[in-house]
Amino acid sequence: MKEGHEVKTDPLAQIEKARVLQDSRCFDASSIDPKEVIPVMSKILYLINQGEELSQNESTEIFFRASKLYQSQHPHIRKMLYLLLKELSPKEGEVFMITSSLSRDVSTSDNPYYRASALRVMARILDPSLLIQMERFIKNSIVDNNDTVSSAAMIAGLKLCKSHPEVVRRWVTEVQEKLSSKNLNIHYHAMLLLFEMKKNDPLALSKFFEFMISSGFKNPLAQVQLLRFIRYSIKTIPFDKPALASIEKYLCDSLKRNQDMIVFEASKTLAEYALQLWENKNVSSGFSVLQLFLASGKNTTKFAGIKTINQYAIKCQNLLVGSLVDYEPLITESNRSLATLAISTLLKLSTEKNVDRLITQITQFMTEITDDFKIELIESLKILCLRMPRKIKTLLTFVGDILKGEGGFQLKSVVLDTLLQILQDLPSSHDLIMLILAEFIEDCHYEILQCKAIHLIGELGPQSEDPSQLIRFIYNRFILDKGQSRAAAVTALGKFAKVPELAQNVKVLLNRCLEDKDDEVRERARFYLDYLEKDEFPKTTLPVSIAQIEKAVKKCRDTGRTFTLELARHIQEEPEEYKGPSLPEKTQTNLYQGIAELEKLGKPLSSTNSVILTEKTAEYIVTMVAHNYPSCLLLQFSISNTLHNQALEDVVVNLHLESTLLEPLLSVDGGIEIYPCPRVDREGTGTAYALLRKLEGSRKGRVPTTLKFNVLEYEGDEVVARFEDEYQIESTQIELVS
Amino acid sequence: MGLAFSRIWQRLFGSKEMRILMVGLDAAGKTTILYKLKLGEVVTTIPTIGFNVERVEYRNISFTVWDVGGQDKIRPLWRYYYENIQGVIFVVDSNDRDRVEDAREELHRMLNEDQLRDVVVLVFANKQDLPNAMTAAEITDKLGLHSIRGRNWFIQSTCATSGDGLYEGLDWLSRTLTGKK
Repeated sequence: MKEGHEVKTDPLAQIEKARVLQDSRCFDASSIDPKEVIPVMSKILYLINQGEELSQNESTEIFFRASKLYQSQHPHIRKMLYLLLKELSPKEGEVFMITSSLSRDVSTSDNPYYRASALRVMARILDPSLLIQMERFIKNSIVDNNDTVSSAAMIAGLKLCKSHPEVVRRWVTEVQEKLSSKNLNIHYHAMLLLFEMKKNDPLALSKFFEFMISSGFKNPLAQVQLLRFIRYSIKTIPFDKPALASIEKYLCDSLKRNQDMIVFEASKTLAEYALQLWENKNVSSGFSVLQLFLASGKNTTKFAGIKTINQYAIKCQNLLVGSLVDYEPLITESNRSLATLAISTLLKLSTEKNVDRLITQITQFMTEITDDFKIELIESLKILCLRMPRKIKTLLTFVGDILKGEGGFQLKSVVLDTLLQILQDLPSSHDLIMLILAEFIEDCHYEILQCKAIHLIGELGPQSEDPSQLIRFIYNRFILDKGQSRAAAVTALGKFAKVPELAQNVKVLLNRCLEDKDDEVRERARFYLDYLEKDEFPKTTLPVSIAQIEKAVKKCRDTGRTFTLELARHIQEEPEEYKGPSLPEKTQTNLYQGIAELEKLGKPLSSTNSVILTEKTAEYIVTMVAHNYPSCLLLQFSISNTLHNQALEDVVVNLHLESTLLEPLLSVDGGIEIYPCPRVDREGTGTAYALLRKLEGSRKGRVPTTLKFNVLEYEGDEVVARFEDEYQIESTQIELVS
Repeated sequence: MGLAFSRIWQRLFGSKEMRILMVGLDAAGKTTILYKLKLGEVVTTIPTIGFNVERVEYRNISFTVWDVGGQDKIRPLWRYYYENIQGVIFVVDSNDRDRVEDAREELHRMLNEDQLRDVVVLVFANKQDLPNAMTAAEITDKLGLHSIRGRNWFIQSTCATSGDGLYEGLDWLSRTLTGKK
């Protein structure tokens, strides 16, 4: 029986860099003990894969220590050593320390596994000068009798092709020889490498295809790949007529094969470039094969078929329009991904005659479709709008409904962007789109998007046929919405004063805004009133770009200087600074420290990568992982105390939800529950949790977060002081999607 | 019981472990010495880029010998292999009068390292078969071995290709190292 309240510790959370570095001293021991060494090696690999940054010194130290493991012949140690050497990627001045050992492994070892692994390491770490010395070994390994070794050598070749193509190209004879291998893997790898060597040389590539096609090989994997290669290179390489003819024949022959994968690649290749290159007869046979896919029993096959047809629907419209009937049954498919792609295809192929009927049909399904696929649909709708301006009313109403309906932030923002694009390309849609936007701002959960829409109305609304009707929507914001939206609305309102007959009304409204309780709103209103009195309008263009201003402001904040436009003008627009690798970390579950309520939750649907919420050098380092459950979101805060004279007790994570989008949680019973961490030892770690209930709709926001705890101050092993303290950490990004 | 017995056996007669670092300027003959000791034959070697490590059994002692390359660019990296070393074999090409000064510098630089404080030093005056070779006494002088204080050292003239002197050197090492313990 397991004891319910026994505190379980997370074995992975205890892996700390400093400790592991210390442990790696066992590599130096005179007799290497596999039981001791291998766990340390896996810990180092774990840390590296977590994105932990090793300083130059640390990585050098580990590299040299690891190199000493070469004295052991233990197969597991050696296996781990190869992995470790690959991951450590030693710097140029060090890497040669193991070249002698690696080349001995490749050339004289009688264990094919060592030889293959050493080849893989070589491909990862060699610099050009060493590569020239090692070239002989790799080249010899390609023609090795052992398949594992030969494959590894060719894969190494593929890797090296990217960095040192001129060296790899010298191995062509050896690789060609392997093309005759009976082993399917070897044949496949040889083909990959040959293509990679020749892909920049049209003549050689054309010969390569000719040779491959005429060789009549039966390796299905290689056939699929060859078809892809043809698709990739056919637009860049000017094949001559006979070559084209033979490729075309090959594609048509491939259509008749009985492996779906080959048929699929062949038809896709035909579709992609056929229109420019060949007779339509063959293209249509490619499409008819794809249409046959639609009748298949397997969803994957259907999906492949409809996805490809969808992709080429616009380009090959005249070929596909005849077979509309084939796609219609798919709309009712229970697999929504298939159905949506079918709808999207139908939309792309529809004509003015049938579009109304189609839209009615789709409307019925809209509630069942996820946001991702709605975005896909929006894309098709945009194309349609541009194609049939006469149907714009039906189409835009449909888009407007999506915008008003349920949906996440990303969907809504895509719709807004799409509307803007349509507006640009199709000025006749102006009034209609303004009205859609006006209705959108009436009821919008996302403040950012609402402000964006208000801004757009302010910019473009005054040119409408009847701008006065838009003003009402904008003025409603003052009565109904929060400060940020009201401020945006003042600006938009101010813009409407450009219309002479409205100027007086706008003035009245702006005057009312002077009473607003929000500073920003009052200031903006004053600003526009001043301009109105002078009867001239502020210039809308800035002397410097927004990006420059942002940079300048940031710089001023960091350096404490005062911001001026002059300063912004002198700041170069340069690419964003690289902020180091993200942490590709999936934290395992079931670490709920014996908290019964949390254990009941079981396994989460998904977990995020861990995010660090403090400086890496802070006294207490806090990282957060969000576990997503169907009805709630569990935030796991790992607290690591770096101080040796302080322990923490009753660590509570305080999420300040007030005035964020997550505020409604506070008014719900059990909307948010906090599980404190009872104790974090000196230089120890601990975990606290916050459980957030999911309400209807999606909401997300940055929530200011603090830690509250009792500090126990130690002198030696005695507690000399105890006091309450609070510690500010970075805001937590929370996304609740129900 | 069996385990305990084998431990005692090990202590009385069993093989002891010893870690030896073999360094010296490039082309001094380190790799040739290593494989002569290991395999008993002369192998064709290429300049060592990196290191070779082999275990050599001699007189119930198991020597783990690290032969680290001697090229200029590798010398600064020797220090990474000082940890847990009991003895250093420093190999000199007795025929290379031009670079014996370099050898002296490298040797003394190494002996100043704190990690090698308690290490014994065996110098192989190698390539004695060549006509113009310096004698062991001459090399002792040129390497400044007499100025070494507080450390056991020994010089042995050797010829790696014939194997002359190699085992005498190992004899000294095993005597000194076991005696110390």
